[in-house]
Amino acid sequence: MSYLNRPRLHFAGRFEADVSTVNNDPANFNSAQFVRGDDQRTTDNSKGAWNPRGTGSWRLIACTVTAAAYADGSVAPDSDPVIGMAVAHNRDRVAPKIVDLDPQQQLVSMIWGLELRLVDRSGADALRGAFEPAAFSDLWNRVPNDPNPGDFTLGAFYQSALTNVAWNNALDSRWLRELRAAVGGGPVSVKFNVDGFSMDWTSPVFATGRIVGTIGPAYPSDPKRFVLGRHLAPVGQSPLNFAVAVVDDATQRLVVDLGNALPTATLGGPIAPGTFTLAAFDAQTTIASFGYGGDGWYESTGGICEVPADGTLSGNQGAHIAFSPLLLLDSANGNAVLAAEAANGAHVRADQFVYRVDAGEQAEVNLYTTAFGRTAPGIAVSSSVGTQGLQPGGPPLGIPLNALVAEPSPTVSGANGVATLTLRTSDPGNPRGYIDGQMYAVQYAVQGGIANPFNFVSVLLWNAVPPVDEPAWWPDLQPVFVQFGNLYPIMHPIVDLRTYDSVVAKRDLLRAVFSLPVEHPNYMPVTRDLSGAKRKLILRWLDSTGNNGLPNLGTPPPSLAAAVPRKAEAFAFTVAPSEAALDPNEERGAKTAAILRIPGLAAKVKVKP
Amino acid sequence: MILVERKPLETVADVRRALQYAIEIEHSTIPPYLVALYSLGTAKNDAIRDILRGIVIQEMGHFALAANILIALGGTPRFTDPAFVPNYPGGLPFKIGDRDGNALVVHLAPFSIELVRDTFMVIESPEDPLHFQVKPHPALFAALAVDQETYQTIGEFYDALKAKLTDLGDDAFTGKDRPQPTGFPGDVFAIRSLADALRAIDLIVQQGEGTKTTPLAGGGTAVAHYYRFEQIVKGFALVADPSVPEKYSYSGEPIPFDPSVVAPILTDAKTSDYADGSMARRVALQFDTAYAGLLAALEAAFAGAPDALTNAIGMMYDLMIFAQKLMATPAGNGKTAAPTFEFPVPVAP
Repeated sequence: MSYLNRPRLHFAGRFEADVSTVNNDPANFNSAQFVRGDDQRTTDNSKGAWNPRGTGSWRLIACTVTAAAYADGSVAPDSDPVIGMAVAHNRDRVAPKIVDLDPQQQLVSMIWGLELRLVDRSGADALRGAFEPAAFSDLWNRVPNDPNPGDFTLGAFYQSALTNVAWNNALDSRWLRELRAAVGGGPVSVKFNVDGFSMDWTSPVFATGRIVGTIGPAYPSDPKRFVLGRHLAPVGQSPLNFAVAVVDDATQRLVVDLGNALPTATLGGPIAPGTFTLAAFDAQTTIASFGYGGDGWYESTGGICEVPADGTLSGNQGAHIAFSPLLLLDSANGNAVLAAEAANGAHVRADQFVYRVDAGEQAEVNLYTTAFGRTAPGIAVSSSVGTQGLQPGGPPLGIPLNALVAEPSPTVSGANGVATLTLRTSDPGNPRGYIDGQMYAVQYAVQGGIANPFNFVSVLLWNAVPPVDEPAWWPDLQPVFVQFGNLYPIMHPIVDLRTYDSVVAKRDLLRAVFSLPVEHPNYMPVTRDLSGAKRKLILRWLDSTGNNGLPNLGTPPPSLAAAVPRKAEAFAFTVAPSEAALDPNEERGAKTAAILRIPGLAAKVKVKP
Repeated sequence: MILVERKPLETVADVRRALQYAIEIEHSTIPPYLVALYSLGTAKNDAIRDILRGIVIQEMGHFALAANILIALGGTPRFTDPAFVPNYPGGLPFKIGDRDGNALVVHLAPFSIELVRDTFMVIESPEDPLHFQVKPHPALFAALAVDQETYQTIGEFYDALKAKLTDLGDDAFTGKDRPQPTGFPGDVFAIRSLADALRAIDLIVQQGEGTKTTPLAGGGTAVAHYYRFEQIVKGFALVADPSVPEKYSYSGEPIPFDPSVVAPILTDAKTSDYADGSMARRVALQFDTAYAGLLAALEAAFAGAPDALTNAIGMMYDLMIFAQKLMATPAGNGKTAAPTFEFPVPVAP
């Protein structure tokens, strides 16, 4: 059960991703080479890149509920208070954060610390829950006709579950009552698509984009970050992206999510109207045709279509599609096949596909195997550890290869359709030098399954940190803090992490934020790329008192001993002369650059080189 | 010296109301100080910035101490009523005027020496500032057509509060064992007894005004707010000086002011002043939303939610970043946008 089941609602509005971009350039991690001015804005993904003063904050802006459907299939009238409610982020804590996994894996940007809320007109929360951290997936160029594609033409989806859901009983909404009845005390499913992002820093909508989403019920045992359903992959030169469908047993309809599958003619623009035909087994065995698109259609449906739109699947149709691959046909073009399920219906996907692991730790990956959307026991899932899907071009990736072992391979799904892959790790050392640890990609597959270039597990494996009895600024902490200070300049006015005095003056604050759970929006470092071992080292150091009651200072290396102590640097939002001359139209963005660095990916996601 | 409305102070309920009132007074000084502080930028004027920052932190501490006393008396501090937020220009709640009979209108304005002298020093002024013996001006009451029975100085207000608390005794502190946040900016401690409450009130008054005999606060070495501000006006630090009869003089380190780096922010900016769809409107709304969220987090923290204080402190830094974004956003006529400190309308349209 997921947002594709009823009751569900749709919302639309804008989101802000005030990402911090200094850490997009792997070279900026090299503190020995980083000089003043390297955090200035540029348009070529080097140095400060397009938003060096970003905070990492991710926000919902003016999102409202556009439509809702009840469990019995009827449409919620405007008199249901849920219609028009705001969909908002955190109220009484800082904004959620959006964070890349690594400068060499920038294609799993993850939202942390989001508390999603439905808010009524008086400002009261109708529903509130913690959005389990999730990364986007199925990234693609959604505006294929744009002559100069960049990150602004990309689209992607996020899906996760709200947990610890709080309900407001005072609000009289049939839709909310039905959702609560459907989930009991369990989680709520949320999926949203993002596109039309602005990277034009001269625009009032800078760093915002369109968001269109759907909220519905979830089963606690279901995967949170994808639908346990029927996954369709684009075929040949199809203009579509990946899509998913489920058969809703209650309504005897197919529910097809095209929310991140349909292109637009303009950035964040409407989806042109059209007609698709759904078929099963082959293109001649059609089930029903259905219309989509038009002004406002996407915002009020999330791109979700029920098929057949009027009526239900016949008993024969239901039995037929249960064991036949679904195909989506272009009704206006001789029923050409646009997207199709695997011929054998096989599908596998990991619920959690982004891992941050300390050397020596172990992690488990749950792989959900299905056949034609149903749980499939006894399916063998093969896997391999490597670098496919990561972004080469910086320091070497994936070595030493044996520091990460994914086993068993193959792993076989149990009665619940879940195959478990255990990630065993050892110390990778520092093969990347100035970037901690190493990046690995764990690819996995089932026989006959569709190939989705984003369906793999990304692992950041941190190196071990030798024990230090008495950690001191010199030599233990200074390199850690200087690197974060360089990469996250928005912190300077709060604490200049590059100087002992500034760090020590804020040690209570730092102790608090370094002690928070990683899911907390105030967690530090915002980038969440600090190993557990180094975090413990920082906390121990903050509690040390060897420098006249202050944390241990230690002795600078001879090369730096003569240098004048660095004074905390001024910071301003005002634009440097070198930045004022930049043309925002030249900006293409780091996601597009990352796509182009991966061999063969650009064509798959419709990005023209 | 500013005057505040005299409130009845008979019952514990009266005292709780008076403490909520004290919280609102202490809170109302923070936005004007913060806006001036933000406008200074970070490139120069370090000494002035340190003074302002230190005062803001102590005002936050006063806010927390008053809230803790209220908790100890079995009350519940409230920060989320829209009326809690002052409307600038205007400013201090229940305030009517200064000693010269002028209504004190507080602005959210960029830093200037005049702002410090004519507003901030008036807010923090003792009844009889040392070095400047000025008697309360009868014209104040005449000009504002109010009688002295109705209004009192903040010092008198706190004196009356102390007297009533003493009168009520330790038994009134029925909430003394409730959780009280102490990990807060400023010198904040839990109120477990009458003695703690009296000590807290003395700290609040003395950190603001000093005492009748010394510009130092609470027997320590720190200079009270009034004199800290005066250091900015005089351009030198106030230091012990045995050569003068007052024992202190403005003869310490220079406190220079370079007006060239002050951000040219709008005075008394309102979110609605910014064009719909503009960057300034967008960031101002985010600022207001974060401000309201901060107050909500603080209310939760003082209601005993263990994690809320960390959330609140995090949001204080978010406010600063929004303020800096606003000050970097052009608002026409050579001015930039400015922090708004308004309660946002609910997020739903």
